Amino acid sequence: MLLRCKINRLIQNFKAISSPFQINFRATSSNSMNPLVIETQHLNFSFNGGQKILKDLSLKVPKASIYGFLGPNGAGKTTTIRLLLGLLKTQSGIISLFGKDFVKNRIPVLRRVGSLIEQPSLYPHLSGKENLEIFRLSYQCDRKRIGEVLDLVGLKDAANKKAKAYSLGMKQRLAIAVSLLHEPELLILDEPTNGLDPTGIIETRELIKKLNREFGTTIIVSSHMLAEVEKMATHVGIINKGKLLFQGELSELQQLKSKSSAIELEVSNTTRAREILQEHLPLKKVNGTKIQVAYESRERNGEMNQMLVQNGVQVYQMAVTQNDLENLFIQITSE
Amino acid sequence: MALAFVLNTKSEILKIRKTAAYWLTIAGAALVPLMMTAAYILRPDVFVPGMKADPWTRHLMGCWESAAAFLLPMYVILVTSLVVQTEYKNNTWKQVYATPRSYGDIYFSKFLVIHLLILSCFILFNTLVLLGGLLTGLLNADYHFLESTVPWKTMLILGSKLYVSILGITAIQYWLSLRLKNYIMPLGIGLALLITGLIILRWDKVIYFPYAYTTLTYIKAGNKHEYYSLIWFAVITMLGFIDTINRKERG
Repeated sequence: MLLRCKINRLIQNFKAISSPFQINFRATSSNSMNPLVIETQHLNFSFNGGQKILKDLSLKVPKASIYGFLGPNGAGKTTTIRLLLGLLKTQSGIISLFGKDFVKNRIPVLRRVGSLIEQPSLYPHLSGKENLEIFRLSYQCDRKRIGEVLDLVGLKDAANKKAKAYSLGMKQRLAIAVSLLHEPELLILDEPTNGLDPTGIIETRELIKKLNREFGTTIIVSSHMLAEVEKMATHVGIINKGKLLFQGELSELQQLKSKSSAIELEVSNTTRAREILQEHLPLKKVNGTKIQVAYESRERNGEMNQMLVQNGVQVYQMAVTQNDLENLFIQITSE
Repeated sequence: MALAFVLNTKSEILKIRKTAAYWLTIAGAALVPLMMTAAYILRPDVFVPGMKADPWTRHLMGCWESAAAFLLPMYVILVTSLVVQTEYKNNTWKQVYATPRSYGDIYFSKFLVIHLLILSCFILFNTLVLLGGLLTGLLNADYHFLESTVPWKTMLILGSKLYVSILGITAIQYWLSLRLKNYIMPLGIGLALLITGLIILRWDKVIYFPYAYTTLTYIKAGNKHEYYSLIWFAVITMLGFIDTINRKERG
């Protein structure tokens, strides 16, 4: 109940704030320069007729974007990705990849898609090179691609080592190499940095950016960490309990963040403080000895403090309320 | 389409290199001929009298006697499980199904690899039977291996008939291995059915029971069951394939 209220409030806030951006987004997505690479319409899914895992999910991933697919564990990210790859049978709704119905065009579509789903799928008894050879045969691409992808993920020196001797980060990179063999136009990565050390995370992120920048690859990358998505995504979709709560450009989400964050002041006299501040800043709310004001910048905070003190109001405490993007996310997704 | 199938079968062969299935094929084929050869060499007093006439046929039948009823079907059950298990164990089914391969391609190329392994096992077994006989003949002239002719025809016919006899089991075990993620399950079911086959051997309805077919072939109980084996093979292979196409979840 509480959650629903929070979500409703957030959505209302968001609608009020971001309507211009939404129009903007629609304009870019309908633009012929940026057709949608992934589009799902009203996707619903449940296991064995039980609880719904996905509810009316309509994803829109524009071409050449890095789409951060964000949600806590169990939100339905992997289920969505499995549906996109045909690993689960679609129950209701439509999935189109490259503007084609997936179910009717499974093979031609998969020829243009590279994927890494959950933990890396490798054959540990074979070397890195042999693992690539297995998939190279299936994709029917040139043998020289093996060397190229090994180079790209920085595994050239470990090419002849057995995959079971690889560290987790190396396994992950080899799995990414597998997904890149056939130079896919779309890359689907499910939690690619899961279990990696900080260096591994940075390397993977840089690789994702590089692929997008240099080859124009559209990449959908799922994650449960907002900070990570923020560092590479151009577009974001936030999913919770099978529902898409937000979808748009990263800048829209950041706009939402700055509009919704506030400064909370604890003062000796709220009535007086209100009078002083009202002339300069829009007040958000007054609550006992506390006042909330829209956050603008650090300098503005300093000015505010000065004004209050000069006018005889004591400031006991001044803090940015927990309304930044991270907390927005927590707010959206936590119970 | 055909090219894709050949390439994917090649990829499937590459996958099982140096796996347990691969070593089991070699060890399984070598076990009986090596033991028999060792027995001939170490205990001529026991074996020479019985192998005076037609030593090759006796040697061949002796090897199959130990292998046909239990070891061969057990090997088939194990190898089928192990090949399919390579994907389950490494969590690679998802990657296989995410490649641009048709469901038919995935199903039949792996099944073909299982059969290639079984055929390799047959060939290796017979080769070792021949080498074992030669070695015995070289080391001990009391055995007349070197002077006798090898019964090529018997070898080929018996081998082919036994291969036909296990076809039914391969299809059943393949389907079980695909459906049951835990490899103990198809193994346990296969073993239980195999033992059942040995128990009901004297029952007149045993010709409907695929797990008893290799024994029936070995004891020369007609060839009707071989046709039934082909029927089991065709029907279960198709049912397994239809089931694969219609699965709701892969990998």
